[in-house]
Amino acid sequence: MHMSPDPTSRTELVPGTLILLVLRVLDSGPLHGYAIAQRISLVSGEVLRVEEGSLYPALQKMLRKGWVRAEWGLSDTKRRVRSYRLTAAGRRQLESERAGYDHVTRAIQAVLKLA
Amino acid sequence: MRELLRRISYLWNRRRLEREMAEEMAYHRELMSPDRRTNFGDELRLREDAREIWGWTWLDRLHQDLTYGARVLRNAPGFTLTAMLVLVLGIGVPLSAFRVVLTDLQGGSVPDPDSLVRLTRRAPGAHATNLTYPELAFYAANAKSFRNVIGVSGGNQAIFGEAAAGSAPESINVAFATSDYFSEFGIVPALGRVLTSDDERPDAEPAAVIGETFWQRRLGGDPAVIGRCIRVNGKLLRVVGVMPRSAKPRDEVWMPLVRQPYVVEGSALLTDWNSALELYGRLRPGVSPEASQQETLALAASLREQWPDHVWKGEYLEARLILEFDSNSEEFKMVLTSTALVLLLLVAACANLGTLVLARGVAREREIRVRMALGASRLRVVRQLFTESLLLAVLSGLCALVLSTVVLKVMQLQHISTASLVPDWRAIAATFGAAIMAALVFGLPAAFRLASLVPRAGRARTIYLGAQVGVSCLLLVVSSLLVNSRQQLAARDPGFDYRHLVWISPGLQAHGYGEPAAQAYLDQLRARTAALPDVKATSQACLGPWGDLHMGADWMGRQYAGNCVDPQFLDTMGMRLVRGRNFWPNENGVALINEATARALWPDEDALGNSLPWNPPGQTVIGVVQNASTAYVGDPEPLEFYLPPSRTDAPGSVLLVRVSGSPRDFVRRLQETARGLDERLQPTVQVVTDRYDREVERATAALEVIAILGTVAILLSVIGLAGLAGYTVAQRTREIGLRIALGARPSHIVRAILAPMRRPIVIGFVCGALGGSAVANVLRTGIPTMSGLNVFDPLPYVMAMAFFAAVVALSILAPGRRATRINPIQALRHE
Repeated sequence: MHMSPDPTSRTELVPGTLILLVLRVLDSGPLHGYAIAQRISLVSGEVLRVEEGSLYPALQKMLRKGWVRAEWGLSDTKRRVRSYRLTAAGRRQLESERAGYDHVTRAIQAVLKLA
Repeated sequence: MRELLRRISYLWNRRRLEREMAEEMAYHRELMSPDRRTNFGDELRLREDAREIWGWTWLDRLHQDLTYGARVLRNAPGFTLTAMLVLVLGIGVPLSAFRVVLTDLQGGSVPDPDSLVRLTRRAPGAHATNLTYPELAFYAANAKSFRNVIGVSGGNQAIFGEAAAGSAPESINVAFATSDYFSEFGIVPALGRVLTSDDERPDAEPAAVIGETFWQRRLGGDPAVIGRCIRVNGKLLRVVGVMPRSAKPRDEVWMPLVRQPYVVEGSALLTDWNSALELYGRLRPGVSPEASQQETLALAASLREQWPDHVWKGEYLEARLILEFDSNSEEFKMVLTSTALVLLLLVAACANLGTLVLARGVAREREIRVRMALGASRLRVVRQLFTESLLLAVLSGLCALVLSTVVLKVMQLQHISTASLVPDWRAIAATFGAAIMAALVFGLPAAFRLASLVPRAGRARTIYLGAQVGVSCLLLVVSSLLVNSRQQLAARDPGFDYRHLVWISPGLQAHGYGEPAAQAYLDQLRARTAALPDVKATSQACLGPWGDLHMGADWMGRQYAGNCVDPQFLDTMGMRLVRGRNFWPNENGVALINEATARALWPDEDALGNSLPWNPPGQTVIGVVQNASTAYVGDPEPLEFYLPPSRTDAPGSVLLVRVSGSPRDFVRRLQETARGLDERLQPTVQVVTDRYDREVERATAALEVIAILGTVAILLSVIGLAGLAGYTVAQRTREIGLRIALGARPSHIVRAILAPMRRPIVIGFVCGALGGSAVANVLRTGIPTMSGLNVFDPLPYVMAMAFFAAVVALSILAPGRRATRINPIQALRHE
């Protein structure tokens, strides 16, 4: 975990959460690579920044696992773009990862409060 | 599972998918604000990372390594050719042997071999390999342990050919078998059908199956032969099928056992107790061989009540799985030893290549350092180097497969082997298994060595060199021991006049002669033979010298060969009585033994007057004769004893004839004499020296095989040593130049080249000599002709050592000359 001393500046993602975030973002509808990164950044209030270097390997892994499907479409500027759509398996994965993440955060919170 | 499918589909579409990925990333980059674009990082790298997710990168690297390896091998043709030559020999020679043996082992491709047993008679103190037809019928009807009892009688002499005058009749071997033989041994006819139980019915037309080689040789391989009639011993037989050449017995004609009397006139095979059948049993499911022995013990006891003369007390049928290798048997030891010898060649080849690869690697040091400096990890370099070795090994494996096929073809043309030319999966698996093993042995240690930060060839080289020197020396020592023993065999006196002996076996038993009739026939034959010119002496004996049949006794772990002979035997054989006296006519309860037997049985006392200790007890030793190895060729310490003949022996007896002049001239005359008395007979005449020559030939053949292995191994050593010396010189050019400049003499230079070889050569030689004597010891027990071999004879070792020294000298000759001619000035500028 790389927490920068200034919480308002852009922050690296907590390791292991990238796939969870991408799954969640795609849950609201198919998006292309750039849009995924933008959306995560936007929704997090520009706190979370997705490295392109980890986004694409993550997307490939999700393709391999069958959580997302890639399809080609046209952008607003009439460019060919590849967008990713969540599959049923991806939705199940999102549920389970989310539950797991909540579980861990609650545990961490509990410890932090105690201290 | 689904994931695997997705991964494979990625691999299938990877070109398109990678292009799309590039397009996608380019789009991403365009959308980014210009100030952030630099953050995107190296696109190539990114694509690589993404690609790695699919787990196919090893394939790319393998491809890279293979192309690189192929290029390296192509750029060093000298090395590649030498290495391939070494490996092709190292894999190809053992592979050829393996393929020949494999065909032998598969012979007949018996279904379910775990329940097929060979049955032999055994009782306390007695053992016989063959049984008679009445016994076969009895056990087939009564033994519940067996689903089938199979009887075979092979190698029966018969005359093949048209009865018409003028056509040359040919002597062939006929096998008689019960019809189950074919199904139980899994024999699939090459053409037509095999014999069935219908052919055994008394009213069925006499049917025969002919051997494939006979069919091709004698009948022109014509498929129309099925249904045609052939004539055996003048009797017509309908050909119904062709026996495949893969079947182990090589008899020319096969007939139902019950039809034997049809072609062998007057045969009483089906009723008398004299025939000798090989018996096999197919165990019922769940019955163990031991359980069947319990049952036959009881059955034999009941048979004995009926026929007390023909069944031993406590007799049972020993049941042994046909594919069972007795790990204590001499045969097993022989197979093991030959396998080890042949595989040693592969070891030598691997060790040899290891040396070469190492030596070459030292020269490639610079390339490897550059690669590592550019960021290649040690493991990556090892993998690269190993891929080269693997490539080399697999290529050589392919060539070895071709080589072994050529060898098999040559053997086939010479009728030595009938192995199929198309390699089956076992041969292919063995080839590439051996190739990969070889690559592991010669390539991997060398690769690790070279990729280490301080590439020095130290210990690995010592081991490699020691191994190949050891193997070459072992084979050298074995072959020179064999040469030695062969010379001794040729020089050894068998103890009797084998150069002037023939014996005739009229085959009375097969033609139903009873005891008095047989004796009368033999007396007549003997009188007529004695009247022939140039016949010096005749004798009647149960067994002909150096024949295929043996009898005798087992006592205190030693085999004593026996024979029953008349009083003329010693004179006819040219054997000399040392002490005591010869038999008197019609004497009983006495025995003659030879000196070796006397020494073995009564080392501390006089043998005369003692009784032979084995079962049935009794015969008193009345004479001791000079050692003569009449049972087996070339036994220097033959343990033999001779008993007077009994009347019951007559139908199986042979007539020994000593002649002056060439014994070969008597073959036809004796045959004619025997047939002149009874023309139904098919007498066999054996020239005793032929047997001797054949044994010498066999010993020579064994010698040749070892010599071929030895030659190849030596060749490998020369290549290896020369290569090593060459690299040593090339690598140390500067140092040698300096030495010459400082006044070193050529002998010093040569010594410097030899220095790294000295230790492995000495160690290898000692190990090789020890191994060689152990191998020779096994060979001695396995090949009777070799039993005179003396492993403590120093001469073969000295010869092997001298020969090997010459080889070492020869192999460093060229590099040594090059070294002593180094010009110091040029050498110091070198590099």
